[in-house]
Amino acid sequence: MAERGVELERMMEVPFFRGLPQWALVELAEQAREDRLVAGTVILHQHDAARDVHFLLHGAVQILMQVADKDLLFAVLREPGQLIGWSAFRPPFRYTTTVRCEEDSALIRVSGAAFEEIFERDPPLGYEILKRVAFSVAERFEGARATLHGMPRRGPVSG
Amino acid sequence: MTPELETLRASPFFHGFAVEDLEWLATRSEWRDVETGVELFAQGEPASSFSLLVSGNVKLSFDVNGSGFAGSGGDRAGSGLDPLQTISHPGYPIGWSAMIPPYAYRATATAAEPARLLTLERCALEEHAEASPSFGLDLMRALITLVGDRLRATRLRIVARRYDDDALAIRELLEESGPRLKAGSPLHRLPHYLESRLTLADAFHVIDVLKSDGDAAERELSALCEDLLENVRRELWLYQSLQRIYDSVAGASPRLDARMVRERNMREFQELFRGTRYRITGLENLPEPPGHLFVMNHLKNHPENLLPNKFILTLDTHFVSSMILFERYGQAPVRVIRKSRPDEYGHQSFYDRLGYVYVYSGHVDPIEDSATSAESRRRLFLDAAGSYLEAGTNVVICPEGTSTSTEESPLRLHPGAFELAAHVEPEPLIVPIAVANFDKKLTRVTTSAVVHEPFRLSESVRDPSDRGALLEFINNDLQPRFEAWVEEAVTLAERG
Repeated sequence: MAERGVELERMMEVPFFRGLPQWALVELAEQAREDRLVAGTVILHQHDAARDVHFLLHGAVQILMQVADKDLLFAVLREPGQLIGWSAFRPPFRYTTTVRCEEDSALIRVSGAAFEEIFERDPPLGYEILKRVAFSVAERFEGARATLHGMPRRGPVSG
Repeated sequence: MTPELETLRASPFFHGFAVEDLEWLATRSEWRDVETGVELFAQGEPASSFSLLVSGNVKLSFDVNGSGFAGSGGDRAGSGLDPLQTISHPGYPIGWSAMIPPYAYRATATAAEPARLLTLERCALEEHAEASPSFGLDLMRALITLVGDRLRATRLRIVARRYDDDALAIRELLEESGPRLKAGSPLHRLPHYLESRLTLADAFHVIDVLKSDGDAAERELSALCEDLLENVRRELWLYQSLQRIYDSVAGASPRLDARMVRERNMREFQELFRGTRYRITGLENLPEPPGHLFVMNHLKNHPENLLPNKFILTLDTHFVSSMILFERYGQAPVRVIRKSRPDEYGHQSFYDRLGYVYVYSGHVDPIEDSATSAESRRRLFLDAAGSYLEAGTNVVICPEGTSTSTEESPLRLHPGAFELAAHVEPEPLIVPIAVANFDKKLTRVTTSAVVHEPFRLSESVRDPSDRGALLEFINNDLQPRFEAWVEEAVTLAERG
C-alpha cells in the first residue's frame, strides 16, 4: 500500500538521504511514497522503463535476472537503506534486473524525475547525490564479483 | 587540437561532455607510458588517479582473499590473482575507483604489454566538478553507466558459469540490446561461433573488428562481449597452444633426435602452463642426481582439449614432466605410455617422436602377437625403461594404468611400476607425486602437484619377486597414502 508523501524522520532512516540540505529532503519527501509489500510482490521488472528509485526500509528483496525462460537469483538485499533501481539515473533508463520481495518489506519510492528536479536546481548537490548512487552500484558490482569468483562450477548463484 | 584533447574526445567514456570541459581536462592530464609487467596500481591502494587507455593492453586482476599471494621456499605457484578483465580498447577508463568512495582501487592493474595512458588526478576532476557543476553531473552519470555496465557484464559471466554456457550469456546480452543493434550486425553470429571450438577464433575476429570499426552500439557491445568471453579467449589460447605443441612434435624434423624433441616439447609446455594458475609444493623432496622413478596419479583430460585429429595431450603428466622435472633437472624425463591402437594415428605420431617407452595394456597388435608374448612385452618394457633409469634419465609412470577424475583419484595401483624399480641396478628411488584438477578446464581452476618423500622399494618389500608381498605393500600401505596425498593436492589447489 503506498501513502502519499513520507515523513522526514522516515526518510532519515535511509543513510542515502542523511546530510542532504533540508530543502532537498523536504522536496524529495513530499514526492516520495512508502510502499509496504507482501512477500512475493514484484517491485520492478527487468527491461521496464526505470522511472523510480527505491530504498529498502526493512524486509528483504531478491535481485533476479531472466535467462532463457528462468529467473536466476543473483542476490538478496536485507540491509536497510539499500538502493534499488539505479537504472533510473542513467540511459537507457531500463531496469536491468527484476526485484521481488523475499519477505514482507517496506520501501521508500522516489521518482527519477524528482531527483532530476533537484539536480537542475542545485547541480553541485546533484553531483554529491549521484556520487552516492555510484557508490551503491559499485557495492553491487563488488558483490557480484565476489559471487562470480567464489561460486562453484555449478550451483546456486545467490549472494 | 592537442593530442590530449583528441584522446578525451575520442573516448566513449567522455562522449557527450561539453567541449570546454574536455579542453580544461586536457590541460590537466598527463601521459603515462608503462612497460610490460608494470603494475599501474594495486588493489586496496588509495585511488588518486583515473586514466584512459590510449594504446596497449592492461590486465585487471582481483585477489579474492584480499590479502595478496605469498609463496614460500620450496613452493612454486602461478599467479595468485584471479584475472578479471583485459582492457585493450583505446579510450576505455581504468581506475574509476578514484571517483567513487571509498577511493581505494578495487582491483590490481598490470600492463600486459607496453601501454600508454592519459591520466587525470582525482583532485583535478573534483576541482572542475566544483567549478563546472554540469560537468560534475555528466561525470557521475558516466561513472554510473560504466560501473553499471561492469555489473551487468559480471552478472552475465555468472550466467555463463552457472550454465557452463558462454553462448547463453552472449545471447542474453544481444537480446537485451536488440533494438540498438542492426539486423545485419556480425555480432548476431557470435552465439553460433561459440558453439564449436573450431569457430571460436571467428568469434574473436568479429569482436576485434567491431571494437574499432563497428558503429557505436557494436563498439560498446563488442567490448562487453570481449569482457564476457575473457575466459573463452584464454581457453582458445590454451587450445591453440596444444595444437601447436602437437604439431611441433609430430612434425619435428627427422634430423632432431628424440631427446631434442622432448626438450623442445618441455619448453613449449612450460610456456603453456605458466599462463595458467597452479601450485606446486614439496620441491625439496626431489632427489639429486636424476635417474629415478616418478609415480603419479593419472587424471583424465577435459574433453574440450580434444584436438581435431581426435588426440588429447595428457596435461597432468606433461605438467609434472615440464614444470617439475625439466625445471629442476634441465633434462626431459621419459614417460611410460600405453601402446597406441592401430587407429590412433595422432597418438602414435606424437609419442613415437618423443621416444617414450610403450607398455601394452589390453590391445594386442595381431602382427606383433605372432612374434611376442605378454611376458616378452613385459621384458621389453622393463629393459627399455630400465635402461633410461640406469643412464640417469628420470622416468615418469602412472601405476593406475588408466585415468580418472580428481574426485575419483587415485584408482587401484598396479604392480608394474614397482617391478620396474626392482628390475634396475642400482635401485632407483621412487618419488610419489600427487596431482589435482588437470581433468578440469585449466583456464578456470588452479591445478596442483605435491612431491612427496622418495623411498626405495627394498625398504618396504624385502623380496619384490614375492608377488604377494609386493601387492600387500601396494594395496595396504602405498594405496591409502596415495589417497591422502591426492586429497592434499586438492586442498592445495583450493587455496587458489
